Amino acid sequence: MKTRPRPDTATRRPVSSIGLARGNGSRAAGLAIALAALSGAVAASILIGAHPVSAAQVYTAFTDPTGSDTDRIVLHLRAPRTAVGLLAGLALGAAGTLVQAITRNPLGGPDILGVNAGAALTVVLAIAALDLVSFHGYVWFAFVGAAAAGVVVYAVGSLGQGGATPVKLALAGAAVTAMLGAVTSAVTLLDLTTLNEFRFWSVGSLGAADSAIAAGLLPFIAAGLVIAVALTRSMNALALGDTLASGLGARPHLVRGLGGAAAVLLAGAATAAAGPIGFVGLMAPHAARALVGADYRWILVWSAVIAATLLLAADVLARIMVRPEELQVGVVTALVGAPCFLYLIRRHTLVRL
Amino acid sequence: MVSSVSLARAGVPFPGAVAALSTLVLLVSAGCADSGQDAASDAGPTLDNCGIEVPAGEEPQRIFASYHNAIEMVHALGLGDRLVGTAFLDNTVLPEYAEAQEKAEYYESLPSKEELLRLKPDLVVSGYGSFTDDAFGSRADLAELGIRTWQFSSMCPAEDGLGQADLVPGEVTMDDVYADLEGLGELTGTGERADEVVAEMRSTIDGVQERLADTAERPRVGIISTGDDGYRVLGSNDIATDVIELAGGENVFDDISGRLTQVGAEELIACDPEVLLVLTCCGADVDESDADPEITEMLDDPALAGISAIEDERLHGFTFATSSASVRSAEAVEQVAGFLHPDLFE
Amino acid sequence: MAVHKTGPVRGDRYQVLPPDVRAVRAGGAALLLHVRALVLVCLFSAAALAAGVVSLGMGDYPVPLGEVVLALAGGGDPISAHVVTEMRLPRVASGAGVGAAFALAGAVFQRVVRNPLVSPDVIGINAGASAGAVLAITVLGGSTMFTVAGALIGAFASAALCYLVAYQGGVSGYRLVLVGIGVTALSSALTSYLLTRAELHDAQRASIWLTGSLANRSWSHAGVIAGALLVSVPVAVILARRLRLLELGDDMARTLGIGPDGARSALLGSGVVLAALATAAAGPIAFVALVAPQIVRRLLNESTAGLAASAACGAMLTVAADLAARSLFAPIELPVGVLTAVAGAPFLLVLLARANRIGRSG
Repeated sequence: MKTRPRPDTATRRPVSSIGLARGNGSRAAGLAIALAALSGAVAASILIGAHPVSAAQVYTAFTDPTGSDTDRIVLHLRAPRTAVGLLAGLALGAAGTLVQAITRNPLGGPDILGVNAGAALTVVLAIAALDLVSFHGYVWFAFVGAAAAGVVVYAVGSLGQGGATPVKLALAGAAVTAMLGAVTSAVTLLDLTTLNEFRFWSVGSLGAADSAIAAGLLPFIAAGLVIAVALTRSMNALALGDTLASGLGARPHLVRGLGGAAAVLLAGAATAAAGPIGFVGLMAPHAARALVGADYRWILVWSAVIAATLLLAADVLARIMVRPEELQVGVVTALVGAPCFLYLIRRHTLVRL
Repeated sequence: MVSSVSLARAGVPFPGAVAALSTLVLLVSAGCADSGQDAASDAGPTLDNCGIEVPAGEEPQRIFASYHNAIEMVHALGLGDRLVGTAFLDNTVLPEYAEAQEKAEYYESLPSKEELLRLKPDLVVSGYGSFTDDAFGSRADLAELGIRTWQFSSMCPAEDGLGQADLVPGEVTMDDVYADLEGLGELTGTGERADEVVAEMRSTIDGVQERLADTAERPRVGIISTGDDGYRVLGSNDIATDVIELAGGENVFDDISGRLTQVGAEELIACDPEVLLVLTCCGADVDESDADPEITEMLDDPALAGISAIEDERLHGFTFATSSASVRSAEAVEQVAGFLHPDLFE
Repeated sequence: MAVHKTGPVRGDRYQVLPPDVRAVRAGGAALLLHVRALVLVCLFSAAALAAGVVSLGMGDYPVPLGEVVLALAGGGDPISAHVVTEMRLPRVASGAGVGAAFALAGAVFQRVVRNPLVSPDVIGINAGASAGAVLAITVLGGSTMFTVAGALIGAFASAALCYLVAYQGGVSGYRLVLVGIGVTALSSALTSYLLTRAELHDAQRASIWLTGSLANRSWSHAGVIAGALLVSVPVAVILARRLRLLELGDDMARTLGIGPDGARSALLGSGVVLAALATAAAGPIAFVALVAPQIVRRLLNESTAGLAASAACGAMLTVAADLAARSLFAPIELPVGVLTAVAGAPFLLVLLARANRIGRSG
């Protein structure tokens, strides 16, 4: 008794003329618009907040600081926050693109590689066992945990014959995430102080990291971005399926390995800087795909820009929506991003992975 | 409750029947859950506590206290030797109760219901919400098993079996604390001691008021708990505002409601408090000194350098237990007055 | 495969039965019994029963075995009786029911979607139920009924929202999954937000619920899940026959006059109802929906859906996991969800490491 084979997405060619922007001219123009939007978000992030600040004051804060309240707010609160948001957003967008390319899984955001779960577990252990209750104490633990989890997921996904296929990677990610999550729950339930600290970290926030931490994570993010850009052509080949890709000269396993490493670097750094922000890295590649089609050279850039814009805009909203109280950015990204995402799915042709 | 339309959309066959059946099941189960509500309302003196009649005939001999405020109130009434178990301390107990505290079993968080039954208490006193289905069960349930219960009257849930669900708690004042002391004292046969404690608290507060009579200064105070991204503050309808005002100050977060509401650093800068009290919590060995690392971090933070409290270095550690409505509240007034008017109080 | 003529033949209709299957006939109706599956059902049920019985005797409140028996019979010391019949027994009953429901939902999903990775959570049921339950615990006080109702409303609301947004003249699997992600993200954000706004103690209660816990289950919970099983199991079983035909492939099914899409939707719907009600009763207990059907699949050949066996397996796994969670770190009681995740994840990894293809489209 044979079943009829279902259409195998592996052998379907990506159609590069799908998407709102067809042709490189309109894509470039669109990118300029997207970058303008990003700049707008950056400006908004610096200018908007509980304390009114004008553009002139921002200028003097950077060029001629006098120790006034405004200068302090701009230099030590808003600027670092904006920098963290920009970096984390770019990193998440790129990481999401990489993950979806190497796992060919539309459900995949960066956290599918276990990055968030790994960071959460090490943070919780650092708080519980080492009494490190401040962000500066556990930020590097988060990075190490994220990276370690990513490595474990990749290693486990490569077990057995065939190496790291998309299905096995996805399964490995799900299994490792669940296991780490369970241990994290156990620890937080056994120690109330840890729960109290952890529940605020786990919604994600751009204000916890300062310029020093952002500067420390910058090399990792830069490295990840460079690798990602270098891999875009290979990612296009990979989308055709392993056999065709090898035929075209790309080496699937190498590409997946490098791509995975870059994704872990990027997502790990973003999670360390801003806590686990789950939705952005998942949605941005889909949005990019709906707008520019299936060419990863464009998707990567667009995805990074969209993610950064979304993150910064969400942070601005989080600060002003319920003044004088504050929401957390991780909450707002989903509240704002999910409806946009649903709208996109409903209205536009979806490009299959 | 379950829309048959949504079920139909989900492709469930006979959606109307399924919806009706599941609603029926829920209602029946709810009905079964409610059947234990008949409280024994027969003869014997009773005391009203949160709308529930608590039999007051015999003095309880085996007391379980949960949450810091309840634990210390039981100690204050001299009942420390009748304690069989305690749970959920926010900070170290007051030194005078330390010895009695050691003798009872201590649990870091609420023990399971079976564990509670193993201790065979005849009275459970709770400072916050312990009488929910997933903790000790409702007060009616425990009453059926012969266990009396007492809930702090400032924290009455809307209905028996519900938890501490208010995101914005109602007004809590010193009078609530006195009422609880007197009620609990009557229940446990320590009415005299309760009156003494209340009198002591009143006189402490009156003493503070006297010393403050001549000064017009009312420094702006903020009570905060530090977090990664912003601060959680005690707002206007918390007892902290009462305490601050009795101590001759003003709560700088007066326009924010609630207990531990999240605000950003910019808000803190805008409010510009003159004195900051940094809360420490949660554990049997946590005291004021645990705030020191956080205070140092705030003093070093360049963003906050313009705040009056930081410039004058008027930051103090403050235990969460002292900031809550409890027998410590009079002491809290004295302590805060000492921070606000150091020249008047040694 | 040999053709067995069984019973009177009408015209040219032959009954073709695979090996291991017997037909029981009564007055014109026939019930196909898959012998191996039946054996498994009995084995798993017996194991579940054994674990349940042990569970009745274990706990922080010491109840000697004699007292347990007395309590079950209706007598004994009132507090012991209360502990055994009002606390431990409903816990075991709920555990078995919830396990069966999750496993059944998982089996249904895996058979219809033909992908072993798919759990009912893909359209956001867990996340929706979690948001609803945490809302009930942190805002409404969290009594049993509020929490169960909240979880139910959340689960169905998110499933409905998912379906509505994905529906465009039909539902494509790909679109449904993507919409599910969006809806899940919304629900998770709401849950996280509520956790930060709650009092610490309420946050702790909510966190326990979120890991999946059978602690403090009462007969109300057991009633809810019993109701769910009562309604959904017949539906699933009746549709199981259609499921078999579905597996002949869409073409064949269409030839036989059964709309594959309609039957698929109905089956998925029953899976959704089961998963939603199970989550409402005990929180999202990880991996039972994924693991139980896989275990059964490996033990049976694939000629039967193995729904009953999956359900029994799920019941056994959950009751046993709860027993372990209560006793491993005594006196500290871990929620059952922690144990199922820690044990279930390696199982999944073992599935991975095997070279065989998983399912038909793995």
